[in-house]
Amino acid sequence: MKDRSPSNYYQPPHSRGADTTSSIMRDVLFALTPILIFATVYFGYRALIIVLISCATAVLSEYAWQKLSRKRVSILDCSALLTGLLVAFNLPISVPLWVPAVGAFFAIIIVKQLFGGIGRNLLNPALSAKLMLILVFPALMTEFRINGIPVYTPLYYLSEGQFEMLPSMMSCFLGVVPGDLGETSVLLILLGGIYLAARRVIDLRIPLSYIAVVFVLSYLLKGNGMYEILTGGLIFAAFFMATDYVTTPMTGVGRLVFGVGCGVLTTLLRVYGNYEIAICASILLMNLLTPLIDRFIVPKAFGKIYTNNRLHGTISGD
Amino acid sequence: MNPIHKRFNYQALISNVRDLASSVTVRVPTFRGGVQVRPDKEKTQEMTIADYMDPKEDLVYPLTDAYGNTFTALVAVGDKVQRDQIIAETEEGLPLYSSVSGTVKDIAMKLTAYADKVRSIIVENDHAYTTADRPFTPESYKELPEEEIRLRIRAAGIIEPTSKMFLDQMLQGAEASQIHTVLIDGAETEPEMSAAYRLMLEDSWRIVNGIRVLTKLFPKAEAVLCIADDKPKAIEVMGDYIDHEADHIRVEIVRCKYPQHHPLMLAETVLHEEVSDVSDLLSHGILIISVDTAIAISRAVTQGRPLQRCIVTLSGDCLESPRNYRVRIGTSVKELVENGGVPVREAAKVILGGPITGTVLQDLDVPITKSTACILLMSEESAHQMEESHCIRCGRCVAACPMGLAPYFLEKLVTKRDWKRFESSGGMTCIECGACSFVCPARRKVGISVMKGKTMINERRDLKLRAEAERYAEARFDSTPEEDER
Repeated sequence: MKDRSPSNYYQPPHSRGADTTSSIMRDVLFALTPILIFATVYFGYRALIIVLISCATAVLSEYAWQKLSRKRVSILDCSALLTGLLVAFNLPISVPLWVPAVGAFFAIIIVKQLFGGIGRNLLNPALSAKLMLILVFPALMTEFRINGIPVYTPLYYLSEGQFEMLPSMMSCFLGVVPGDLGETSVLLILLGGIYLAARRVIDLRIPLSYIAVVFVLSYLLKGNGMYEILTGGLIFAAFFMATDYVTTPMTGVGRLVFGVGCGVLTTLLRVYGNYEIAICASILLMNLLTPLIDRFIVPKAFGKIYTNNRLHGTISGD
Repeated sequence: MNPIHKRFNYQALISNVRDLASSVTVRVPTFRGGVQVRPDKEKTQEMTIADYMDPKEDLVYPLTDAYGNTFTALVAVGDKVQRDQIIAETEEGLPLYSSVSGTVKDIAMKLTAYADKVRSIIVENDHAYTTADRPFTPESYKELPEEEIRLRIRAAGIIEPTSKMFLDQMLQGAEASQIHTVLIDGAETEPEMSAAYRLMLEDSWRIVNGIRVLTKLFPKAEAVLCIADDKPKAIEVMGDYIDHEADHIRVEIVRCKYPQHHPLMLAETVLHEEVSDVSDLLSHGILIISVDTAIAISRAVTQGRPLQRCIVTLSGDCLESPRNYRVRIGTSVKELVENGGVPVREAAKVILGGPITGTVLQDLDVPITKSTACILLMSEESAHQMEESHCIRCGRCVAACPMGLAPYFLEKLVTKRDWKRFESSGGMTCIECGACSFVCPARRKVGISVMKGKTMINERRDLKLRAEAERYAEARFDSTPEEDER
């Protein structure tokens, strides 16, 4: 879209960097595609239907909202599509088909648009949708049934302490275990994460610090590190949910604090609280703390006329 | 102008992991922040500097230059002038020279690239290039005493563009003992500009001679020639010309990251010293000059003549063969653009300066001055700009700011008109490099908002000073008539 308004045409810079909002979103979609293919192959074609319903609802609700509120329609920046995909990846295969629609609608309209649209939401839309669904329809989200037979996720066995029923670590790593659509295959998630890191889309500080803290802390508290990080969709949340730009801090140190905070909260919530919503709740709590982190952790200013980032003797009055 | 998308960026992955591990050993020194831009210099850097030294149109010499210096004309309409003759001077006596011989056609208001119409001397070229007698005899700097060297530099009227001051003023303000480092900026990290690179390859002796003059003036100082690592040939050539035993000169290779060429960033990279303002550099004992200034010093001291040419990179995707041109100061931009090669596309936008900080020229009939380094002709496709969209809070502007500011936050403060907080968050230290706007994925002009904030605060400062002056005047006016008569 060409913009010849004086501010855009006559002001520098006249050349821009390669990344645009839509190129970033498309990169993330590209990184998630192998996971989508795996989900369709392993869980069945119903996975594809769930994803389609979720994405379509997300894009249509954003389009409807922007049209009705007479704002500029921005569905071409692919952010709604990405949110729809992430909502779908947080659902198990056995949900009724209206669940992804409700989740996507909630994520886009209530969590994102009602708070001000892209860049202005306080909470991660996809994760808030998952939390809402778990709280409102706990049975649908946590009880898996494949062909009518109840199936239990590794996370369930871990939470119950039934270590002998846990699948092998290699199965958890490859993803051939029951779970939500996107969060089982650690291998593909890591590949996607490496791709995004190489394209400079995500900052590796958050996922690596999050996973490391969960590993160390759960090893110390429960004696079991490896299974904790391989199950329950932790790696998926660390790479694709906790790295959402809008809801995470803007500085490197702030992001480390965010990652560590998420790790501590996740482990504590898993040990002393509900296993299912530990990840959701911890990341959403840290999202709420992000404005505070951004307020106090500012980039290190240049030059010696600053102390504590306060300039002495301002003209504008003290 | 859109950089090619690299599908998989191994270097970015490695540097991402390296950032995370906080590696201290950096192979090539660099500064904090900045943005890695594609240099885009392949088009112009392999060709030698072409001469365009015979301008057909009239030459224009503005009497107010881009740095705020005002000159008074010493010639009148109808006078005959010669090349290297002083035609104007400032209050302090610093000269402005004519670059051609001819007749003074007019002294009138003419448009310039940096300001609206400015009073200028217009000289009609007689193409004879008769030179005025030089007041100094040619002499190697080694034979000349220090006062003579300073006198020759002053007489040549050399201006240092990065510090926006006359070189003579800079040297007068600096005691010989105070300066401990002389930095020569050969980094040139803004895309498309390759004038300094070509000068380093073609005019190497003069550059080294100019640096040697400065080391004679400041014997305790070390001279560091900073060259960015995308110019290996220049590093090699300059290394050959420097006598490593006798000279106190060394070549420092710096990472080619925008805006390394800025004096504050050079000081940070080479000396690890963070100075907040360019005018404070001298009091910290750091003298920063450009490669062109070194050549001007060499010419002024050894030949006793001013440097009245500048190297302009004529680039962009509208020309068949973009290259560097050597032009006389005062040549009109329009003439250079029309004669500078075969156009392959129509130029939709003409920019004076680099693509990141350059200004758009609406009227090409402006003179080339010492501050001109690059003219870009952009076609419709490369001038295409996407619309601004909402900030996605990605943090790229924070990572890119070389001054450690948070541009997204400063932009918000400007929108809310919170000047107190803008200033206390460091908005006034912005060096206007444009790196933040460059990286923004939402195509927001973040840097422009910060510059707007700076302008507002400066205006408020002026208003405040004026209000104080008025109050003082009022208090004085309240005096008795006898006092007033005194």
